[in-house]
Amino acid sequence: MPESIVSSNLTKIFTEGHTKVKAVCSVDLQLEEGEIVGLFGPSGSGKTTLLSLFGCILHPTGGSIRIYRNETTTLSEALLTKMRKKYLSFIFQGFNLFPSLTAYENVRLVLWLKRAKGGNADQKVKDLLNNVGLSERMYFLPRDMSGGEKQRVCIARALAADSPIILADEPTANLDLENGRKVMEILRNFAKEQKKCIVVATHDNRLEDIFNRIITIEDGKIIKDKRMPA
Amino acid sequence: MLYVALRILLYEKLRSFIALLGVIFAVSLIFAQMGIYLGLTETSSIIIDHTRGDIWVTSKNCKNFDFSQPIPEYLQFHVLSTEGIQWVENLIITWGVIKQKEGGTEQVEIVGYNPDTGIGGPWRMKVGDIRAVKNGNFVIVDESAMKRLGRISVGDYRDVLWRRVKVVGISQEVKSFTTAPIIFTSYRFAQKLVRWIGPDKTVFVIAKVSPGYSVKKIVGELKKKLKGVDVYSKKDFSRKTRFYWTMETGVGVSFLLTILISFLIGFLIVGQTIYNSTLEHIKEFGTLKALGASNLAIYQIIFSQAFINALLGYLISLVFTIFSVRFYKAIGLVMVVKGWVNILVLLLTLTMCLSSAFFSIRKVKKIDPAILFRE
Ligand SMILES: Nc1ncnc2c1ncn2[C@@H]1O[C@H](COP(=O)(O)OP(=O)(O)OP(=O)(O)O)[C@@H](O)[C@H]1O
Ligand SMILES: [Mg+2]
Repeated sequence: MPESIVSSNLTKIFTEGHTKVKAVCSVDLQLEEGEIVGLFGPSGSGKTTLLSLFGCILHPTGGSIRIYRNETTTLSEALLTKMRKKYLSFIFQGFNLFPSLTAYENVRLVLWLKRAKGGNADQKVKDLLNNVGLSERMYFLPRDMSGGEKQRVCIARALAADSPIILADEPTANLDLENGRKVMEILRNFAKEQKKCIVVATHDNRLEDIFNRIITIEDGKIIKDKRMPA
Repeated sequence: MLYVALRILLYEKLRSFIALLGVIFAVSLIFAQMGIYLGLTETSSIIIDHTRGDIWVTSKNCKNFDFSQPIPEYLQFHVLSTEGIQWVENLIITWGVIKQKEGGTEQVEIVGYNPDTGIGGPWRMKVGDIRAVKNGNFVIVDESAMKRLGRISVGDYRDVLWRRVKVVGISQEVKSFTTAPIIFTSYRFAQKLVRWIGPDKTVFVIAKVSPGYSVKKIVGELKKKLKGVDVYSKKDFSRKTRFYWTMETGVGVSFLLTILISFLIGFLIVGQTIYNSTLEHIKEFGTLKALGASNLAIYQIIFSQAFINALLGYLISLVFTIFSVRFYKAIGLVMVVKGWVNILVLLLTLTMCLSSAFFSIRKVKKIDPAILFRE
């Protein structure tokens, strides 16, 4: 299976005054298409930092990251933006939806900004919202939707960007168990059907069964990397 | 992007309303200032602009139309004997006082013109004829003077410079910049009426250049030929008078200053509103950036907001201005609304709103998507 993200000896050290925090420490990982990876670990273990590194949002202190065989650690800011545009998409804990735009418009906006054509784009947005089970809520404003519905809009938005890798940081933190599970199941199906590589950082052990692979991290180090039977 | 911008503006109704009010306030003020300023400049040279002829001979160092010294009448013959001059005419502009019906006096600007040619006389009559001032102590009073002088009808008698005169006509459109009422009389009677002018003096000599001759060239020749006077083309004299009243008196500067301040107020209100809105949307914009939207694409949303504010504010102000012209007229001010003024104000409005969006642009440029991971 093609490798989406390969990291070797990946390290990130934050320096605050005289104290140094090793947030990510010598991480070697290979993430593949079609898998949904759960990134588990206690608070402060470095999950968010690792996602930010994968997402070309933070520069590593050492080691390397390759995204679809492109070495990213030596790229300029402008080229990193291009990498993100081509390969990466994000789902955040806070939904960051425009409160003035409907679910449809929030998703459509991404296509507008990427200059997609009218008729096709319209159908694509509707299909995406259908796929996350929001065909009835298409023209609702964020304030009229539940947290779970909002997060599903975010998933549709992330998928609209059409990138092979989706990084999600605590996407279910603001949701109850039932809605969290629904959201995660949708993500799992996308990973499988559309051959995406989805990495989800989460605390929630009750959702472990969703993932194909569970990586546990503590103090910035990988302490466990377990593949689940299909 | 205009659509997205509009949706954002409509969602934040109160804030958008305040920004729009700011634009309307600023732009209406700019319109009014420009319109009144132009009205004043036009008024200040209104008689020059309505008088036939190409060349004005005035006393030395005369600064404007309204305050010029008497010059010898015979100068007209020197002018006429110059090659390329078709005709010459004398015109008196001077000051006097008129006695009010109920007592008291009012200052008036007296125009003495040749009733046979009508040059320098009123160009639009409401009642009577411009030739009616001939051979006697007759005057024409402009309609606009009634506010100061009370109701005047043809056939009335008034005292001007302690001489009884008879009103023989009412003219229209001759507003004076100095706000002093303007009364017209014959050139000959003006000489008799105003003692410091006398029988052999005029105030201006106006000349017409024959077809095929250059006004500029003849002005140059006359300047050399005539001593102790100034010679201007009609255009230059009009411009000089406008410049004097609007710039040398400082009136123009105060208009300019008000326009500048209005511009700044609009700039700050719109800039501040869009900036606040951008700050509130910073995570949304950041998310779009993380999803691969370029900075430029996001700028479009912000500039569109500014553009909508500008356009809407401008249109409302324009309508408001067109309606307020009547109000200004009622209080005695001429306000000019003209194509090129409208376009200039539109450009000013766009500059004001779009440039104010730059604060927000800088903010968007600096968004670090890393903030999105921190809740
Ligand atoms: N910008 C930063 N500057 C300094 N230290 C940082 C910064 N970001 C993270 N850290 C530190 O790095 C370590 C890992 O943080 P990180 O946010 O990756 O943990 P996390 O596993 O996502 O935790 P949580 O589950 O609470 O979200 C922590 O000790 C944190 O204090
Ligand atoms: Mg975290």
